[in-house]
Parts: sequence; structure tokens; C-alpha cells
Amino acid sequence: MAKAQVKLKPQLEVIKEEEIPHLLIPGEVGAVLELIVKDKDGKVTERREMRSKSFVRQFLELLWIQAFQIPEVAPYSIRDTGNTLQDICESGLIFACDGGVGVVTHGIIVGTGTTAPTIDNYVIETIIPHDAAPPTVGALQYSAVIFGAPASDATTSQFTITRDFANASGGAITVNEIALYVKGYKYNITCYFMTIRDVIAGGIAVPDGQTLTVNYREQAVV
Amino acid sequence: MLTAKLILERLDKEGRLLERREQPSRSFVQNFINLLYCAHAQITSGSPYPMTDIDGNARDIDGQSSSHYEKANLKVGSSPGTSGVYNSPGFHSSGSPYTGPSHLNTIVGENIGIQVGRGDTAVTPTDTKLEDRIYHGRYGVDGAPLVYTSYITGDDEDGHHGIYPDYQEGQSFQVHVPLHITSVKLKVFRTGSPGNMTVAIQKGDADGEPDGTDLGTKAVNCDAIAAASPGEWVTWTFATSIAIEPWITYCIVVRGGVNSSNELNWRNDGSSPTYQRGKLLYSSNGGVSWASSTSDDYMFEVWGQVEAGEEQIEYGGCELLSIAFADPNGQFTIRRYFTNNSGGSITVNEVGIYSVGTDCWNTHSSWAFLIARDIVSPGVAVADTEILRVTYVPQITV
Repeated sequence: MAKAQVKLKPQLEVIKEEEIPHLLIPGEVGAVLELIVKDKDGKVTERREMRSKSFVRQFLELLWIQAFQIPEVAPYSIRDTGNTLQDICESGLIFACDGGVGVVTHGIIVGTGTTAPTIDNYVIETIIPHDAAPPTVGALQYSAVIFGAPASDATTSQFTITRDFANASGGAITVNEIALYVKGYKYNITCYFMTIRDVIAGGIAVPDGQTLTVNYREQAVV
Repeated sequence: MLTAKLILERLDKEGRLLERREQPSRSFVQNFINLLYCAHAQITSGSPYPMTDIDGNARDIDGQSSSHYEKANLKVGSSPGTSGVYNSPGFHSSGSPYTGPSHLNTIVGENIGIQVGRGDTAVTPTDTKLEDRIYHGRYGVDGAPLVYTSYITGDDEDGHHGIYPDYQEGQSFQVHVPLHITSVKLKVFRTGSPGNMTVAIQKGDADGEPDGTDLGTKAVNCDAIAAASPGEWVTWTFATSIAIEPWITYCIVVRGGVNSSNELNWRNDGSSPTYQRGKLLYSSNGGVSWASSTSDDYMFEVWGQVEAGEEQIEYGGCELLSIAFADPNGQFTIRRYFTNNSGGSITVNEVGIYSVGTDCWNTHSSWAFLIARDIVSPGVAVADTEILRVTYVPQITV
């Protein structure tokens, strides 16, 4: 029997104003996490939406560096995803999460860890690797990250970060944790930092041949 | 989640605390999300993202930067008052680090960081500026109109072109206070009988040329003014004063006349003009389109006054203090001092934060954008010589 073909090209949908989810309260800046599992025909088999636990300390540190315009000559140290303190300064690379196909250094990352997030988390607990040569047990195919442009309604403004994770591993994979990795920079060196980490209660199962779409909708509510 | 506390403290001139208020900020607006989007998605100059700046202009913003990677997007720290703050758009000319034309990338310190204002309309995500911003300075209410900007010497030519239908002339200018223009004086003379000549005030467009919308007009019959060069000073007094904002380009537009034998001529300096805040403007199609000359300036005076409710307050630098973490929380502090030396009381009803957005490759420019705005109710009345300390404390909690 021919192996199920999984699609790696995420579909970008325009979010209409009336479809902006309202899970944050006034004064909050955060993220709404949407998880969608689709079969090979694109039929939705499971969908969940929840408030993200975001953000972890690296988000605030990178925001502070950019707001303060910390220069190369007096950098600030941040713990990267490799558990190394890196000297970081202001740059146009801060917060970049436009990871390409198969890239696990930046973009939305998935894992199997179940430990609750804490502010000092700097890496996903147990990463699900990219499946570069399917089928690979326990691996998913990471698509390129795509972005939905900002929109707003009467109270909420948001934009969306999307990534597809296709399962051609031969077996079901349960995703228990989601993270967002971004770039930081100093001295011609690009480093990677976790800014968001969420644990999904009970996990979300991605059957073999199906695709998990993760949407992080970063929002501000007035 | 990221939230913010807003703290307002009123101090006397010795720094003693008179009043303290603390409230949760409601404030991050869409421009904050827009700047995060440009950073996350690495929006390029080739496909920039449009945002509206604090002056109401549409600007193309990107998250791109060239070889040294610096980028001023999301900057909040700033110097005091009108001292210039250079903001890197992320552009480098070949072989030269940290460059970009400074005149396109310098923003006055008061336009970056914490802001105060008098507006009280509820915040919406699409707000792009404070409703009624209180400007930096020491000016209080004027007792009578004064000259706030002018160029009155060095005239050596009789104008770029005579003024009659189709041929309009103008002069752009800026003032340093929130002003109500009461009158304009121009050094002019007539040819023949030009009849009523209208002076209009229009806002400058992105090129500093008249945007076509009269903010106010006045017509004066010029059939009896000086009939030869070098002319005389003639006053156009507006029936209702015209409110304008500081450091925004506005234009004096002169139109009317009959034909080339019955026209108005406006004296200009065509050899070594030194007016720094504007340029000579001209139109040959009745104001439909304009061109400018930076090697000429017309002779003019702008008279006006600062009115009640437009007193200024002095902006200190916008400070960012150290970042701190104590599981499950993290926070840093943004703080600014505002000193009232206007001679009168100023009531603050709104506060906000202006940040920077830039364009790397197309214009190599930077502009200010509203990222946060809050209503303070009831307003805080800051008496003359008192100090208002405004503090935002952005916090995350896991």
C-alpha cells in the first residue's frame, strides 16, 4: 500500500475581524493558542483553542533590550536554547521566528514534555525532532513558518504565527508542549531563545498520516 | 501574559510626594502588535507593512536590517525635550557603519517614550496618537499675539512668479509650540489691480507641500497696496484663529489676482535664504500640484498665541530601569519626569508611550508610533512648578 502523503504547505487564512478570539482580558498582551489536526484530505479531526501561558523571561529580556536599545558595547546576557548565557544587543533580528522547512532553531517548536512552564524555562522540555527522512519514529515534518498580518476589532488587535507538523512517522504522536523560539544577535552571531512555552493538558494526538497546525495568535486587548 | 502597571506621582519642586495613583494599564494598541509582527516575520523593505505615525502619516515599516543588524524598532528610551535622538533604520551605506541620513532618522526626544495629554476619549486598538498631547516646553498662555516664526530680511527678488489664477505661491514653516495663528504678514506689492488676494493656511503633506485643505483663510483687497518693489508688509488677520501643532510643516498659500497685468508679487530671498524650517512653494495649475525650491524663501511673519489648555510641560528623559525576575514574575520599569513651568496648572487626563518604527532600504527613515495609551480619570492636576512622575511597569507572569 502506498505510504500516505502528508502535505507540508500550511494554508494561510485571513482572519476576519469578527473571528478574532477573545480569551484575553483588557490590558493583557499575550497569545491564544489554536491547535488543529487534519487528515490527509484536509478534514478537521480535532480542534482546540486556549490561552497561552506565555511569556517566559526571554521574551521580556529581548523586549527590554530593544526598548532600551542595548548596544553591542554593553550587551545583556540571556540564556539561549542551548543553556548558554549569550551577550545580546539591539538588532533587527530580535524576535525573528521565520524558520524554514525543517528548521528547529526558530519558529514554533513542538515536544512531548509535560512539566508545567515556569518563567525561567529556556528550552522546550523534550523536542519532537524534524523528520528529515520519513518515516522516522517519533518525528514530525516541520513546515515553514508563515504569518497572518495584523488585524483588530473593537478591543483586540492580533497577528498569527502558523506552522504545520505533518506525521509520516508510521505511528501516532502525542504533542504535549508547544514553544516559540526566536533570534537574538551580537557580534555577527545569531542566537536562539525561547519566548513562549505551553503544556497542553492531556496532549493532542496526531495520528499517522495527519497534520497538526499550530496557530499562535499574539494579541493585545484594550 | 504581559500586563503593565501605570503609576502617576505628583511631586513638589523639592521632590516631595504630594499625590500617588496606581492603576492597571489598559493600553497596548495595535501599533505595538504591528511592530512585533514586523520583527517576528522579518518584514522586508520589498514588502513593507503600512503603519500610521503620530502625525497621521502612512509609513512603510519593515523589520529588515543590513550588515550590522542594528534597528531602532520598539525603542522607548529617549533623551529630554527637543534634544535629538538618532534611530538606526538598519541601513548602511557602503563601508560605513551605523549610518543613514541623520535628518531622516533623528526624532526629538519628547516624541519617543512616555507621553502625557489632556484627551479623555476611551482607548481603542486603532489609536495612533494621544488625543490631545501636551507638548514639551515652558510656554504658558500668551496675553496677546506674538510673532512665532518669520523670515523678514534678505529679500532680493520679486517672487518666483506673479500670483493670479492658476499661479499660486506659498511658503512652508514650522513653529515650536501648539499655536493659534491669528494673522500672517507678507511683504508684497501689486501690479495693476489684483483685487482680493486670499491667504490660506494648509498642512504640509509628506513632501512638505500644501495638502489642499484650507485650515483657515482670509481675503484682503490689494488694489491700494504698494505698486512697486520692494513692496510693503500687508497683514491678513483671520476671523477665527487657526490651531496648529509644533514641529509639523504648514504652508502659507496665496491665491487670487486677475491676470499677469493684475497680480500680486511676493518678495523673496533668492540668493542665500536661511529660513531653516520651510521652503518656497509654487503651483501653475491652481494648487492641484506643487513644487518647491530650497534655494528661495518668501518674506513672511506668522503671528499667534498659546491659548488656555495648551500650556506646555517640560519632558525629561525617558528612562528604562533594570529588569528583574522572581518566579513566576518578571518586570522592568519605564519612567519619565514632567516639570510644569508654564505659569499655570496643567491637568493630565491621558498617558501613553511612543516608540520607533523604521524603513531600512526605501527611505532609510524612522518615525514615532503610539504603542500604548491610557486614560487617567479623574485627571491629575499639576500646578505650576510641580513635577509629574509617570511610570509604566511592564510585567509577565507565567
